[in-house]
Amino acid sequence: MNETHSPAFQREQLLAQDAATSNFNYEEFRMQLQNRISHLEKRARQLQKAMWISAGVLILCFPAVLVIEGFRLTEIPWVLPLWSGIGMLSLFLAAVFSGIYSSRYRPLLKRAQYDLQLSMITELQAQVAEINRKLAER
Amino acid sequence: MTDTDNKMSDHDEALTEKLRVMQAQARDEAAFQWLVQQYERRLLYYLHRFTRPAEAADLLQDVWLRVYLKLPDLKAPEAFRVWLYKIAHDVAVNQLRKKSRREAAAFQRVDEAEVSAESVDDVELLENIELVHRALQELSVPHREILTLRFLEDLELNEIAEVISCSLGTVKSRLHYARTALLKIVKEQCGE
Repeated sequence: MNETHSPAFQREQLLAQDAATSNFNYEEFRMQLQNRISHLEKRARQLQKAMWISAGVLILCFPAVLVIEGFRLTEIPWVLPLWSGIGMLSLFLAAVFSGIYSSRYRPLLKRAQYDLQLSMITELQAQVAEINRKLAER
Repeated sequence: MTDTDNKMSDHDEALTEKLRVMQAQARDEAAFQWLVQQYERRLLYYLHRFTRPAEAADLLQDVWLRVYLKLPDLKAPEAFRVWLYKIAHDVAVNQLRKKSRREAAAFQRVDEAEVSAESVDDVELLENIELVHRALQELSVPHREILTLRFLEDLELNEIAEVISCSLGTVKSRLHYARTALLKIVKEQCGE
């Protein structure tokens, strides 16, 4: 194949024609992107933390009933409304946080497939090494 | 360079890319940066076909952020390129919709009736890249987009269909009319 007609060569020629593409500051772009990703990951971790805290408070509301009953705190008028208020609020927050986290951030911190991917990567690396060996032989 | 060498090199490149995508899926920062560097110029050129340079730079950030967020969900790492351009297409079209309904409507409208049907050769068209680049700007956004995908990325028709969420028949027809329109403009620019 004539190199000047190869897609890669033509692509480079086409890109070179666009002044905006050629003069763009890619280093700065990558730095900004990295900063935005770091910020995004930080927010994801904060949201995950908030989600677990809300869920934890909700779970604690159940044994709290025993404490309230045990110490006869039901006789105090504001205890039960406070207990139910905290329970409802933590239920609501846990639902909202987990909804946002699942829809927006879950893949960001996903590690479940890591082991499978690692084994596939190892296999691919072996294939790349094999191709390089064949190329070197030619 | 022989055809076999080219095929070997393409295969090697595809394999390397697949490897990097999988590493990036496992949140390897260096692999993600490698992917950004591989595609940033081409994506920027593609996004310029939709919007002004300053806006294209912002869109490029949005595209890569979305890629970063959704990358672990990509089932087939070998389809990364098509998946990436689909995200870029969606981000660009959403931006057009946000800007104004009129521009979004212009994007949907393709003046194919005005273009006469004649056979056109890709190689002939691409002989003068400078003219092709200038002529692209004269076309409607959908025509610009489909030609950019075809000539810049050398995507197959079914891959283009996936990127722009159209049927294969629509892609074939649009590509044909876009090529014809491009050739017409190139010829006019040449003073033929």
